[in-house]
Amino acid sequence: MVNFLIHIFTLVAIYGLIAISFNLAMGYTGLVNLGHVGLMGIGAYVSAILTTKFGFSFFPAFVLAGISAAVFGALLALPSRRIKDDYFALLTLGFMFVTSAVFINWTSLTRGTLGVRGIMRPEGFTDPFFFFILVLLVLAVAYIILNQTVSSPFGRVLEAIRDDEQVAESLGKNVERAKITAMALSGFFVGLSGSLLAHFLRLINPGTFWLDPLVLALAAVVIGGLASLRGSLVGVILVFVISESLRFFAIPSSLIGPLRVMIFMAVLVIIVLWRPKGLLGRADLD
Amino acid sequence: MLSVKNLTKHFGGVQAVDGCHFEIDSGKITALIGPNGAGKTTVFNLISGFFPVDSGEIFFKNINLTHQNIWRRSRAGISRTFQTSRLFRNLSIEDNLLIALREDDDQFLKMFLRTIKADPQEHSRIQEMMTFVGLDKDPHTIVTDLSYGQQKLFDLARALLNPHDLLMLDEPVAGVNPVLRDQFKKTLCALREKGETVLLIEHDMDFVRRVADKVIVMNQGRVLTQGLPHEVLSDARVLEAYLGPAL
Repeated sequence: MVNFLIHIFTLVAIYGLIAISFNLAMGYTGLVNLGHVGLMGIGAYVSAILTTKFGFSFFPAFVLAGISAAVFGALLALPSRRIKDDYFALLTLGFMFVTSAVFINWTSLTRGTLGVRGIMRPEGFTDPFFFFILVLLVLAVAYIILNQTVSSPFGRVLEAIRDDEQVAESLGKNVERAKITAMALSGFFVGLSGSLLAHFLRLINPGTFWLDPLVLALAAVVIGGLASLRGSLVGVILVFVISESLRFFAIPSSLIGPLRVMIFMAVLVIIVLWRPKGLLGRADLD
Repeated sequence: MLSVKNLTKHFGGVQAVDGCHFEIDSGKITALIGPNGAGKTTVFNLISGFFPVDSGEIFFKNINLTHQNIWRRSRAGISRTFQTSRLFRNLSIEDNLLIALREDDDQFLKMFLRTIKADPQEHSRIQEMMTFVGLDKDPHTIVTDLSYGQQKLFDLARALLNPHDLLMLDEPVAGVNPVLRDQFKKTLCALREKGETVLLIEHDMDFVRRVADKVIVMNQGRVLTQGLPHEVLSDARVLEAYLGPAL
């Protein structure tokens, strides 16, 4: 039971990192980046391949995972000057499909659908409890950095961009640079979460970075509220409580996955209709 | 200060601006008037960079801004309001105004490392501006809680706080109740006293007569005539543009 709880708490902390970085792009900047899980996958594969194939130790691979996802995040922000709102969401969803296709087809590097195996946990953190402490530390540092960012005048500019980017620009703000910065930061932290997930699970394959984690992160951010880091963490906890409580019902295991997604979607609809700011959010779902 | 040369802009088959050409002088209030669909707001959007021009040139303080980004035009000194207020709807009055007031807050590292200290006067400047435009509200109020007229006044306050040399006001008193309209008129008269350079779109001719130093009349995307208010407003061509040909 203790091991099970540590497993769940570790996943909650990793998803907390995914959700707060997702909220930076979506909740604060208004960039609905449905490719967020693709960036996470990039971080996971970079870290996994560097440690298993190229002999890197965990920490350099971990940092490089963040940096590579940040670079792709910044690149993904480039078309946002012309492609906006729903179209940007579709573009980034396309990016997720592309990353998945690369993970599947670049078999010489990623081993395709077989995935990368034998990913070791870092020395000193092989015990699940200590690994959980490591994840918690990373989450705490990420939270402090992102909180410092969003509570600074730069965070206020991001919120202005979310509300009306043309007007923000007419007040002298370099919107393009701010959006690239936000997406790079968001990508950096989700890349780190990918690395942590890879070293936690010790096996990743393209299916690890598909729609399930995206739906979970989206549900957590919407339930917790846009433009609230605290809300995202609360959202992740609620989502996991809903998700894990299904284990205690006599439901065939093949149905649990689809049922989970259906419940998240139902909760999303309820939130959108009755509480568009989510539990702790500062901005309406538009 | 501002020179607009042969501007053209079309939307599909509609020629919204067709060879528009005028200049405005520093320290004066210039009114841009004309019937609905004359192209006034399109000219505003072209000057502020919201629309790219089809052809023509825009010079501001002798700098060619024709192909510059919106934010570069703002930093060059152009500040504007909107026909329908466009406020940052999830932010408070104070946050909306701080965004206008600060010039370097879009630089992540400087803001993150707090290497730039906030101006200790900024909160008092915000309060002064609120008083100047006649808005007596708690700065933490979310802007969508303001009435339509208050939002228009607030839009003006934000444009005034944005560092500028030219203020462009797009129908500032349209749809505003008489009390706030009077407040607006007082504010604009005060701006005139301060020597602000203002380009104003307005349909209230009495208002234009009172505040404008120069009037430019547009019709069908072109400048019909321009000059002193009393000359222009009694010009038969202007009356015809507004009211149609005499029967």
